[in-house]
Amino acid sequence: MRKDRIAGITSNTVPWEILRAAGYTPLLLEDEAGPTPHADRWMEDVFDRRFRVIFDRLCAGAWNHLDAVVIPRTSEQEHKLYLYLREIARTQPASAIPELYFYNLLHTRTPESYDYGLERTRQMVRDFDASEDELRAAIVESNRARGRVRDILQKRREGRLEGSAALEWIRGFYSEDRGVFADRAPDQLKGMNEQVATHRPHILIKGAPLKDASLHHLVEEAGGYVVAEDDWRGSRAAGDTDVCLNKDPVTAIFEKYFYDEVSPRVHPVVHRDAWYQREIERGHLDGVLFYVPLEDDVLGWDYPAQLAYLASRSIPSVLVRENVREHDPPLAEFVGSLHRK
Amino acid sequence: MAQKQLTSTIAASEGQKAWFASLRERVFETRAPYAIGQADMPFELFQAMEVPMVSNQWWAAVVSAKRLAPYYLDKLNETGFHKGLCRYCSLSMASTVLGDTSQAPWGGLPKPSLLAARLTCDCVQRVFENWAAHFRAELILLDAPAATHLPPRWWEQSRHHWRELFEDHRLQFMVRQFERLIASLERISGRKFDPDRLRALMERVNRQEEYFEEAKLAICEAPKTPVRMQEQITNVMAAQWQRGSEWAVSQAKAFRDEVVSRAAQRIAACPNERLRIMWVGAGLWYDLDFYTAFEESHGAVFVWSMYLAFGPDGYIRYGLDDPLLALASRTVSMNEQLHNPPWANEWILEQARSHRIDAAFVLTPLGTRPSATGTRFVEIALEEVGIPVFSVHADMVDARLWDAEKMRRDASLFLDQVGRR
Repeated sequence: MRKDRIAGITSNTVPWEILRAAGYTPLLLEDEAGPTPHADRWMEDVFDRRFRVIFDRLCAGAWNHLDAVVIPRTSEQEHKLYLYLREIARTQPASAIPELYFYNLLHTRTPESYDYGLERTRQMVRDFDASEDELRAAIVESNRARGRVRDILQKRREGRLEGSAALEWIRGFYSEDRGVFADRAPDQLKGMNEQVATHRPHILIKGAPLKDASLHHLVEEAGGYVVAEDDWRGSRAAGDTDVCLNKDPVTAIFEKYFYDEVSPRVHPVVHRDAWYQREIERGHLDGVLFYVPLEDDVLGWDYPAQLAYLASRSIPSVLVRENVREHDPPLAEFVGSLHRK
Repeated sequence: MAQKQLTSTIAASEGQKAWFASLRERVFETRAPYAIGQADMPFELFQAMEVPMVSNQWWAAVVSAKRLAPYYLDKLNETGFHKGLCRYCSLSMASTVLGDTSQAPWGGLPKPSLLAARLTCDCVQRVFENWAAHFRAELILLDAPAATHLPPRWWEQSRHHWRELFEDHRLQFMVRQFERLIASLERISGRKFDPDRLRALMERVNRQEEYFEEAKLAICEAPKTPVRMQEQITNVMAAQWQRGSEWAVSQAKAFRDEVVSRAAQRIAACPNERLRIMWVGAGLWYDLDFYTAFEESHGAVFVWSMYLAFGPDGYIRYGLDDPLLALASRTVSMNEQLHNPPWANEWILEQARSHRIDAAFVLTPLGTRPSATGTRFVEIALEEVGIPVFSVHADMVDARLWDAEKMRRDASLFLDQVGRR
């Protein structure tokens, strides 16, 4: 299988296995430092920094190592990123935007959305000309990496790996060759047997997507232990299940991304909150940190109900609006007030 | 508030009030079902099933125009929903579930049987989930796959070639969602869905939009606009929310007749008209006087908004052998056509040309994500053909963020420059 082509992906809901089977190495497109003149010209302030950077670098031709960019429908910002890029490609002849592909995956859990998403996934397999054997091989490779993500998360649950380190490590699941990621992890995990979380309160981070581990570092500096985060870059990267190997591979891949991946468009709320409520019910948390910045336009609608749910379980929480140092004192005060069960 | 110049405008306002009073009466007295829905929902289905639907955005505009938005939005924030969240889509909810709901205009919205929304953005499902949970009402959401076939000049294809323009897989998916919605409407109303009835209604919608097109052409061709933008909006939207009804068609016809007659008689809405201005975006519902504030000082008249022009280009569908499919084609991209590239910028540029626009005011909404995008593409497209742009950063319903004096001052300076060109 050729692996010398690189496909940029914008989030967790692009089926890695299809791209891999088609000979691409999928790579999550990340934020990076520096000005964004193209985004400043064309994009409104409502776009997150990461999408502004993606738009900017693609317009500027700065990411010419990418052979294709695949964007899913699982958030409105990505939908609009796709439209903006298409329009720049159409109207600005000098732009060198790579080939764009849009994956119309929907996350409303209805029979219609299931059928539609499955048909779109079949279309993607046809468009990328991926064979069944190649799909099966890619599934095995990706599942192996998912297994290693779960090993990392288990180490953290045992109190042997800081949350910030876990988050940074799991980043490799999206940015590295998954085979290499899976091969390397066991050796690295072997040496981690020391307890680092003894007596430290266990904290779950819940809210807007995390850009990096800086919030984790703040919690850790204050004496807390981030045991999980409701985020596809962290605790939810591997999901609950692997891609099933005992059925048609396209259906199996689709079902994994339809049922077991995180996105802001999951509906109804009972599915959206299932992981969060399950973590609460496990009884291992001493506190919850809600991260809901004012730029957020999504999670803030869920916050009051999620807070009420937490209060009904007598679990303390704190609300952080910005991921910046000025919020150290209340955060440190909150962490200091918690006691390990 | 500038005096209404058209008798059809007075009739439109009165008709809307009467419709709402009758809705309340029926809901309270006979427990008749009614629905609340997003503006881009297929109102035709509700109309055909005789389940009246209140547009979420229309009601938010009414609440805002009555200067009640700050009260209800403050209540929303006090409840734990932060200030950065979308206000246009949530103000109606706030006015029905928070604080003193009896303060709401015209007695307020009664409890609906159904809430319905199309999922353009990521937040609207949450607003409607919260709302439906409060009322214990049924909730129907229509998901929204994206278009990937994006040919230029969509409005030249949307009337006759809508099957190709809107992509078969998207249309078929929407029809399947409609079937779920219809099943719900049948249960709520106790009526059976009749496709022939929908087809007849769709034909009337076409007629209604053809009237609007004739009115629009009269505005384009008249030396000075015969009707102010605000009166266009009142007439058009009163009819659009009940599109295809006998009242709506006759209201559209009355509006057309009056506009065409005024144009023929060379009656100008503002005899002092020197600059023709377009307003891009939803209205500033709490400060409608803004749109007439520059007539005397600059001869600047707002002649265009999306509301009238989008009627014919966005709604007309010919070839109604499969009315559900045709309705799906009207629904699948409605919001996107108005707020995203390539649709919005191309179309608005075309509108600016045909309306002989001298300058554009482009709204970038502060608290409403679905309509806060695409504005830069619009602004740049206009500027590239020499139409100066005044960017307005404001919310459509949240008057708390609006500095009326400063905006008038800044706009005056902009118009001074335009006038000197």
